[in-house]
Amino acid sequence: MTVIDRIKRVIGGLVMIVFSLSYALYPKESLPAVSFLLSLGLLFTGIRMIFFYLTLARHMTGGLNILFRGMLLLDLGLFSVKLPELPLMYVMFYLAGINAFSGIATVLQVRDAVRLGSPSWRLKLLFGILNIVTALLCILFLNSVSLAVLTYSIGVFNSGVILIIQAFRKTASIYIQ
Amino acid sequence: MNKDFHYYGTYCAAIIAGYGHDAALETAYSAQFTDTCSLTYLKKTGAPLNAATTQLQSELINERTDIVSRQRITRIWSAFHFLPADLYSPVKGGKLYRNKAHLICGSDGALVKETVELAKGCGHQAEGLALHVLADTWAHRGFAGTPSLVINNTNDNFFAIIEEDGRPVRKRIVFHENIRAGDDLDNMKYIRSVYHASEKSVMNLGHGRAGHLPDYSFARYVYMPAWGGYKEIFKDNPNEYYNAFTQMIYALRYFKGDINSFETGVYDTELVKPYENEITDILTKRQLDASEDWKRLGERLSGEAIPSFDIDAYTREYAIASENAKAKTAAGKFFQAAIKQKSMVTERIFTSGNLLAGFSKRVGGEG
Repeated sequence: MTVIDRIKRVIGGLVMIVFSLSYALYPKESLPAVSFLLSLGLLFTGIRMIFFYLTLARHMTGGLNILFRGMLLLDLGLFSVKLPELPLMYVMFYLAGINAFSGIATVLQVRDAVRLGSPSWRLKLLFGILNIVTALLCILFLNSVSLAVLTYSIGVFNSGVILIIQAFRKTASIYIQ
Repeated sequence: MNKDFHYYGTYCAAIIAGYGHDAALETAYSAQFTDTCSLTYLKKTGAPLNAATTQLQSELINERTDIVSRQRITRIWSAFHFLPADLYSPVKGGKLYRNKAHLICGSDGALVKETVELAKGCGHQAEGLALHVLADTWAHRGFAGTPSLVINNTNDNFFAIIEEDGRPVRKRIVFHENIRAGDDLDNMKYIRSVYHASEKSVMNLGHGRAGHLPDYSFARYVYMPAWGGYKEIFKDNPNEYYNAFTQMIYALRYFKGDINSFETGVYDTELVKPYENEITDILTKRQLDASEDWKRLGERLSGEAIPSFDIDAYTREYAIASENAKAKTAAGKFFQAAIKQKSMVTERIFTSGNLLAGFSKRVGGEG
């Protein structure tokens, strides 16, 4: 992990903690705003990946994979940009879905890391499981929106803390020559 | 390539080319020093920092991925370890892609000739450095000295070619990321850099995604590079290392004045003939480090003991020399040669319309 990666993780972790507190304290205002920010993030990442494909990755082995991922993220971003106008319950459902998706993706990454003999995967697995459990609990408590919001806040808070811990962990050196 | 070939192998080549023990040792030291002359070491020695010929892992970890940092990385790795084969090769694609593809390393390119010519008459330090660059063009063929997922990534289509019952067969190579486990030659398990989806990540610099395989002389393998249009590349290291060795002898004879000009595609296979079998045996032996075998051959060739590589062997003199005398020391000559080589390659990349290595300024009559 480079120094920049560590700084990014710390900032990401702090942002998640701030967001989680704002969800718990001001759910009606913060959740639609955060879901809108997430939508913009998805849109930006999708566009960036498609641009990467068009300029470089189309010449690369496995480049189509990058195009499909970019299109999927762009589509999700376009779909979700309208969500803040819907009732809070739908926003919560959307956020829980994003969390579950992120958690499943992380667990799949951990599976690959274990297969490749990577020594550091436990904290990442915890991160993934936490995301999935948070998403499931949110969906379970969807009838009581305030309980779902609180569960989601706790989940995001924990994820933020794990991200910060990850940033300070000793990792294996990168390897070039 | 590793210390075995760069240090002991270069020593053997120099002795075969007709160098004396001391001259061969100085040349070999510089060839290996190219793999250790980092910014951190230069700071410790009080040497000019732009003479860095490599980057330590700890230095790379601290590198940012902005354009200036990537240009710094590219200047070092393209000039000394992944010399571009052809900066003007016809490549399909946009300029962004073409610029990266033009930095793919390969042997017998125009820049190898310029590298060898640049070193002539500049002392054994410059010669050793040039031989390092030359040798690496064979080992690192197909990879670029710039961070790029699009060029340097590899996939699971990676097979070792080994002989079974006298026939070549494919065995799948399993890559892992566990540094502690290292390379397991018997079970074809090799360490490689972690996959990083970012185009600009230092994880995607050079041959990290193919592990140490390009640096093992015994390795024969086929793989599918990211850039090859889904075509497999066959890498026959014993043969390519032998070419590197014979081309080094040819270059050394040019340095010595036995030959008037250095041309690419020419290898001195005559002088090496009496030792061909022994060298082939060393190159094909499956081992992580062939230093002992090369050392044994070198000592037999010269009749002298070859000391182990000592990174400080020449820099102690540099550290205590007066400011005026520093340039005349062996280490001082190496640093000058490094700066000239780096600026020459940067100049050539820049004048080809490629800004990946940044701008260049003229040093010692070169770019």
